[in-house]
Amino acid sequence: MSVTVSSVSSHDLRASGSGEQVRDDKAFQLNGVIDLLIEQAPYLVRQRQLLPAFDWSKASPHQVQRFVERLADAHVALPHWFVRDILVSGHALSASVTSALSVDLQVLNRLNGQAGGPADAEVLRTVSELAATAPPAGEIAAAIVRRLVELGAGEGACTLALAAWPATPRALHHARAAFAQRLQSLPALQCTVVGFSTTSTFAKALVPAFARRGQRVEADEAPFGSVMAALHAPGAGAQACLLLLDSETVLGSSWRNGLEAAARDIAERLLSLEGAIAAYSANTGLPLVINTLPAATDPSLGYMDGYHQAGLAALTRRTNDALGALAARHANITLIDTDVALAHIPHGERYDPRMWFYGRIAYTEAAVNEIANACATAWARSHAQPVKVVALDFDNTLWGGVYGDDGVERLQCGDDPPGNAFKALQEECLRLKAQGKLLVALSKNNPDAICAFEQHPGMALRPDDFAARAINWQPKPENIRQIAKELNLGLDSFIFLDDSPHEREAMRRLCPEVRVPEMPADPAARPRWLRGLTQTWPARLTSEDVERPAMYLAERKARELKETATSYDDYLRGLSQRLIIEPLSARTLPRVAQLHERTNQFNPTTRRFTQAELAAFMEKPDHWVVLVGTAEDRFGKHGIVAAAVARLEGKTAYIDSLVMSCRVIARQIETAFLGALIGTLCERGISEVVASYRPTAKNGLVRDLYGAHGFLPFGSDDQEASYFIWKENEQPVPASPFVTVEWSS
Amino acid sequence: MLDAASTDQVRPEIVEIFAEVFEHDAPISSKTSPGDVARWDSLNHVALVSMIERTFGIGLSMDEMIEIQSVGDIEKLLVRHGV
Repeated sequence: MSVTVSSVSSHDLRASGSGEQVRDDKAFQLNGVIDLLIEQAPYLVRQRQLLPAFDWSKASPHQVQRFVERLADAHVALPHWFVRDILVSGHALSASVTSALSVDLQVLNRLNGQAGGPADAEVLRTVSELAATAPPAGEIAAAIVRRLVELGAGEGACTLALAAWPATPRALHHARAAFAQRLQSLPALQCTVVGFSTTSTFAKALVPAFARRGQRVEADEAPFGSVMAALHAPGAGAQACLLLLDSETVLGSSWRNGLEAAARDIAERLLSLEGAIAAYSANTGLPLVINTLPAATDPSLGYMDGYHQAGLAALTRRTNDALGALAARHANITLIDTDVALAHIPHGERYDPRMWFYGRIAYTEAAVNEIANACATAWARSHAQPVKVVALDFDNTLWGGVYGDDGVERLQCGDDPPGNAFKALQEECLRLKAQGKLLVALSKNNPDAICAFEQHPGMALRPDDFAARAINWQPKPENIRQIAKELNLGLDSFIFLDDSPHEREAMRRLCPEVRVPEMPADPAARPRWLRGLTQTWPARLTSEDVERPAMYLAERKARELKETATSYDDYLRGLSQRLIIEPLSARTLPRVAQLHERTNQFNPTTRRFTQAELAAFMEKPDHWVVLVGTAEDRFGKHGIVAAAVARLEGKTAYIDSLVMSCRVIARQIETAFLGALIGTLCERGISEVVASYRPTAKNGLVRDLYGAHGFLPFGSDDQEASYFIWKENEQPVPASPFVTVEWSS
Repeated sequence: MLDAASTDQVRPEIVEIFAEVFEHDAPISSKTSPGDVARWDSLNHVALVSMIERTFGIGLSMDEMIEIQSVGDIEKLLVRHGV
């Protein structure tokens, strides 16, 4: 018996009352069966007999009501599994029965209870909240979506169905009309899709995967078997390329000439693939998303598979290592670990030999959906504002118990249960910190609560692990805004972790830019949950990422010094700042590219030079000067904080970009850096330096940068850019008494 | 249950599957074949087979996948698999 497939919709039956739509003797007998179920309801519910197999969409509302009344008369509570079956089959129950249910079932109940559209506005709001925070899955998701469509709320149905994708692809099918409309409203992303196996299922899955992140993929599939050609000579117009790899085609081999020869064949094939990927990267510089080979499940060498060079597991590993090395060399490559993408798909359901032999389809639908979803997630990760700050609640989040009520000694955190789960979450926070995220304390407590991290022996976190703190009784949304200001970061780079649904709700309402994930109620589930939270996954790690928390801590200490110093000049003098200047090199290239990519505020031109462009400038030192500045002070190292690109034309240099990290703003580092740049240009025979300011929503900070450093206004153009000029012997070279400039050879 | 294969009445589950996989809402009979259904191409054929397997709780071999050339073929397979 099946709940989902029935020729008569649940709605028709409910409209028809009991048994009027008798078409033949089968329906009549069904009523007899239902009468029997009602009569035996208390026994059947307690024993969980027959009922789980019964399709309640075949029963009328009146019959369901009689069933529920029969249970009430016998004082048998409605079990949740039964309520769920009833709701999924399209019936509604009284609100008193469902008040203890999860939000998704309550929503379904209210929708089922509505006789006709339009859908209730409050329910629609709950639906969109569910979609954003905790989308339902399976039959429940599909049932809600179907009912929303019936009530004319296609838009909400589509949002929920996309949120439930890829766990429940069927939900999106119910909302397909609204989905088609939604797609038309999204900006297009032209992609080339290539692969050695069939790519159509992958291309199809990319559409909902990217739609979830607000983009309409227009996939252009390269003809079958033309991967190498497509990579070596990419077609015009594409904005990105997706390469679907699979083990069958990459590791397929002829064993006729023995193991060694087979391993060599595969190695050679890998080399030509590497060559094609490198060529694509060098020729186009366009984003290229590749998935790794999935872990081998069918060994070619039995138990030796992992350590003999011709074993499939060993070959898989070697191939993936080679892909990893390629991705490290080419910044345009995003490599998806297929095993991570498929973590929730059982091994036996990732590959279907019949699909392979029938149509060279290397992944099942469930698997290819997950891979497409991973591609879209990684894409969004590298194109949206990354999470830089993790704002953490204290009570019942970082430790068990309430500091103000229980006191330090009674807080749960340490090596024994239940405190070990809280300690494990603290360890996960330290892991994020080690990956370059900032930890921030956001707790409703007296400020002395921070001491718990020092005084309690079980804590993994220390007070200094927090780059900023707001421990007070102010509303958290206000506090987080304050902290964002302190750190010079936008709210969209924050993620907020709090066990309290009220705090999460308040944050979502008042600071919608902040990412607020639902947190599991059970502390034991949280460490793993945090690891799986894709919003915190890094797109790419640089050495700067790893050192960043120390830099911000140095900044906080510097801020504290600022509060005790007598004047700002005294403060700057007390910092003992050093700025090390060097030309762009292979070592500094990734960070300089990252600075161009990320800097929004201290960026007068917003020219975002890519790694490839910057590398090209290095090759032409007669035409381009690219300087890099690394800062440190008595509190610590700030790493590479500034970079400038100047174009030389005769005696004139044009500053095409000048970017500086916000963490060193207002310390005259920019003055020292600008001075060093002009000094370098003069040494190269330049006598005029032309700079420009092109206003954006975020770079108001540098409107007066050049004016304040002795440059003279030099007109503006119709695109609102203002130009400035500096002339040797007419204006002084900018310099700061508070920054010692050193040259690195 | 009546023996569906012996009459020209198509099981409601199959009607539903055709609506879902091929977005085909027109009536179907045992003679309905890929030529009558716009989206019944080789790619969607794979989706059709998956959906039949899921709905009826059976597993089909590759030969059987290839054998399906009409709705009647599906009915025959179902009977052979005891559903």
